[in-house]
Amino acid sequence: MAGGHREWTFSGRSVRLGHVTEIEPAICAHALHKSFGGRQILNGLSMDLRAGECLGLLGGNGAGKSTLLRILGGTTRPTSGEIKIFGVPLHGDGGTASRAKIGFVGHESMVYRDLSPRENLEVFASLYGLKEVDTEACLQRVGLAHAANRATRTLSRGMLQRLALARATLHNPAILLLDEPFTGLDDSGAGRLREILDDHIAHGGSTLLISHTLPEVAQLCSRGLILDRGKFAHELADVSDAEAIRDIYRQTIATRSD
Amino acid sequence: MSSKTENRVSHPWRDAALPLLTGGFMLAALIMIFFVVPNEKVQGVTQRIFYFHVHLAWMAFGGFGFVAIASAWYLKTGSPRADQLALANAEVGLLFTTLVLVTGAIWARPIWGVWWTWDPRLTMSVVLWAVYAAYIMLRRLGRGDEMITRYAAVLGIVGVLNIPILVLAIRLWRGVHPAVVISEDPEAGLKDPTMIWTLVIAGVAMALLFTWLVSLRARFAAIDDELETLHLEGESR
Amino acid sequence: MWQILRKDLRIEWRTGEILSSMLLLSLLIILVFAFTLEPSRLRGPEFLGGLLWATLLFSGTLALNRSFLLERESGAWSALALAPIEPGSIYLGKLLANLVVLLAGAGVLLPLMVLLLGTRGLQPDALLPVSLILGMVGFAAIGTLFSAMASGTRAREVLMPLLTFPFLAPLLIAASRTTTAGLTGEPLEAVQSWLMLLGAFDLVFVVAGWLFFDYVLED
Repeated sequence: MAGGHREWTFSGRSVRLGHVTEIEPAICAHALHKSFGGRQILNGLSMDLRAGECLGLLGGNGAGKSTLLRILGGTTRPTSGEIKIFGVPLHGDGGTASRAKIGFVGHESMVYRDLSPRENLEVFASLYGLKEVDTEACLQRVGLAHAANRATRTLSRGMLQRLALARATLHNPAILLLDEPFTGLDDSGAGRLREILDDHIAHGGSTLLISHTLPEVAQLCSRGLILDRGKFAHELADVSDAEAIRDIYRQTIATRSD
Repeated sequence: MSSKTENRVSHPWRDAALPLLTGGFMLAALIMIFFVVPNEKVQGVTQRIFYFHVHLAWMAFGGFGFVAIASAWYLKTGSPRADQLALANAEVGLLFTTLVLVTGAIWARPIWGVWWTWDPRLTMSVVLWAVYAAYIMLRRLGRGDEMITRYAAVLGIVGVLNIPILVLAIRLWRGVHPAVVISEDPEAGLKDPTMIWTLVIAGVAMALLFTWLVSLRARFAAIDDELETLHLEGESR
Repeated sequence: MWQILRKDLRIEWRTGEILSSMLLLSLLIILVFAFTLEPSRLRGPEFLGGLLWATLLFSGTLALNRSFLLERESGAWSALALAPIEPGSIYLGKLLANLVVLLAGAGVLLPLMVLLLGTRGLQPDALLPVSLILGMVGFAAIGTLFSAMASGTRAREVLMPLLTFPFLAPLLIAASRTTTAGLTGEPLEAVQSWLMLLGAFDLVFVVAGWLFFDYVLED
């Protein structure tokens, strides 16, 4: 990674990453194990999300992608292993503050059904310690301004997804963890998501994207990792060609013994 | 994982020595209790059950402490062994608490004329039983849920905190000195030295029994976990 | 912590679900008691304290369960885990919110019970609110922790009471005793040791919940 000053703004404060040749990776995960009951989901996984890159995470169903994302985001604890966010351990002292740098979109919308979208954003703004937040603008950005005061219970799947997106980007996180974010979004929603991502990347944000749609990955990501049964099966340094990804993907998954 | 090989390797201590010792001491205790020790002055023959009862009670309460320790160990390290030990201690603890209540009732009937009273010690034992049962129920009902071993560990630790408060509450409830526990009365009691010996031997026997049962149960739990792992791995192929 | 309290109160104010179902259930429970035990025998403040707490135990458990279902429903639970707040604060926030609902429930229930079961011999004094508050804090402390755990499992409805009731044994004894005393006008000193017990219970379990919530707040 080239050196140079990078400024990242969150919570109204600027963080200079400094004029260094080596920049601290956004996420550094080491030897992650995770088992549920007796089942081993992650098996000694180590990875880096470099600052400013968009990493695509691929793999078959049950490979452990969603679990990995949840562990990196901090909602699930690994059975063993370490995670550092910009060099600060996530589960140690000071780890709680690091969470403010992460925005997460998962399979569920993670919002309160009994509050309106605007109220939801207000709640989350206060949870993230944001003093003044423009919920209007946030809702505009995802195209929910017209439904700002409706009961969240009445929103459709696609609108909930947009709200989830708004929730995740509200605090201008430096890192975005997205688990199949395009699901449920119509063209207009998908377009807005892409805008947000472009914006995020342009400001030097790091992204980890799980997607089954290879063209999306090809378009947005600079690097790819294929996950198979809890371990990394393959790293793709160049993901610009969807077909190429598909071939490698098939090869990798096909070579596992059945 | 190490637990897999552990179960297949035979442990001389666990597999042979412990059961033998337990058996030996239990036999000795039984002989002493039923044949050797003389009748206690006030209560007569029924008093013999006391030798079981009091140690069952000690182990039942102690078991709780072990559950808490194993739970804390599990929360700290995530070691499945710790979790299995916690479960084992809880189940054996429940068994012993049940026995405490039963032997207590058997003892009570001839002596006090009733099967049950709401005396502090008895009430405490029932609540203890309920807390043990709650722990075990949590694990049973939550089987298959991801977080269950964690929750159980938290329960195990918080449970122990309850005990001193419980003791206090029940003492306040029914008066400070329960008149019913005759062993507190120095007059009629364990006068004969044989009685003391019997008490000690029975104590060792019970402790060994508890330990042996826990080790057995823990081993079953480990095998259980292993089976589940294999089962789930097989499913995902 | 305060944000969570505000959020919960706002939701409750909007929907009123938790409080209303709690009150309705309480009423039904009182009716059950009235049908199964002779109300004429139950007249008199000695029973009132105990009955109140028995009823509150059952309906309060429901309220506590619902409170966490709010979070689990859409995965908002995960959102809380993601946020840069100490788990202990989440616990305390939830605790306070639950406490408000429970006290509101008790506040409505007590006059209702008095109405239904007779007012003979009643001389409420300052001890009454004190005992209710102390008792409820303990109830909420244990209940919040356990319903957080239970809400993450399949058998949450049965599990929550199963876990909570044995733990609440000391609380029930102390709270019933002091509330009855509060209803009959006994002075504070008479039940001093009970009050201290309640205080100790509250302290121990609020701290325990605060410490252990970290382990519970996970996906």
